[in-house]
Amino acid sequence: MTVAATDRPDALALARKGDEAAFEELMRMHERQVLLTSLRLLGRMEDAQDAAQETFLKLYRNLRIFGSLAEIRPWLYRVTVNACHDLARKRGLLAGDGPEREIPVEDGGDERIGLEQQRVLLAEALTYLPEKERAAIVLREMEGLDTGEVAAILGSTPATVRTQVSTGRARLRGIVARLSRRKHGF
Amino acid sequence: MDFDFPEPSPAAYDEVRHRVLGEIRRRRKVRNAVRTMAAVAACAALVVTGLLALWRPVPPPAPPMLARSPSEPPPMVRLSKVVRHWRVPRRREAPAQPLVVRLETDDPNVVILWMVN
Repeated sequence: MTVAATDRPDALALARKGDEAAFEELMRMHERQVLLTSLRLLGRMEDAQDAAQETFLKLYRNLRIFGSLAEIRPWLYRVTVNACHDLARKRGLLAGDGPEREIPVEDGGDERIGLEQQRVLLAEALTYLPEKERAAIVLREMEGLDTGEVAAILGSTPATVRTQVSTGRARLRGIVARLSRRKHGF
Repeated sequence: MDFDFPEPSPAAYDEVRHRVLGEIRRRRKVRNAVRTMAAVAACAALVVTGLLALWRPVPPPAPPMLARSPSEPPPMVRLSKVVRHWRVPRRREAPAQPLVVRLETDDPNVVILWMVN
């Protein structure tokens, strides 16, 4: 579904002139990046869609600042991360940078968890990570960006990103273990 | 990391696009309405300014400037009523009568009338 950014270099120029179809094409080029990153950061599709909507509206308002299509991708990552942080703070969705949230106790089960359950567990575990660590893990480990790119998007240094990824991974393992024990009784 | 979220469905992408384009259209309508109102207001202001400029009354003549030394106190100026001078139409003069000189002779039946132009 994603179109290579170089396929329609005139889409940016047309969108800047107010061409709605051209802007829709720009959205199609970047929608996977924006929606999936939002989903990874927020954990729920409804929230991810809200963040993606906000991100694309910002893109529409800022079309004039881009000299080429290639400049849009890193800018969109930065705006997506910020939109997710804003939304999460507004709705009290995630742990943020404050103290870790208490993991709720639910009815345990004795069945072994499958791949899908593992996914759900990890998605939930991500939401317990502090904001910056979560963003670093999503961008570095899931989006596959290099440390320098992640640092530029998050406004920090590569060393900080490496630390955040490493700490985040360790923390994530602990959270998954605790969630797993409480949910499934092992 | 060997874990990821499932790929969002095409409907999820469609919904985002639909919402974004709808919001853009809504904002564009509002912006156009504001622009139209601003243009109408500007036109009305221009018309009113033009009318005021046409109807502005002629100010009364400025009082004569009097030379005075800086040590003197400023003269008291008494405001007088503005006297409106009505234009009186000039009376039309009657056409000039030729000058007639009457010369009488010895004969009472003969009178010479001399018309001087």
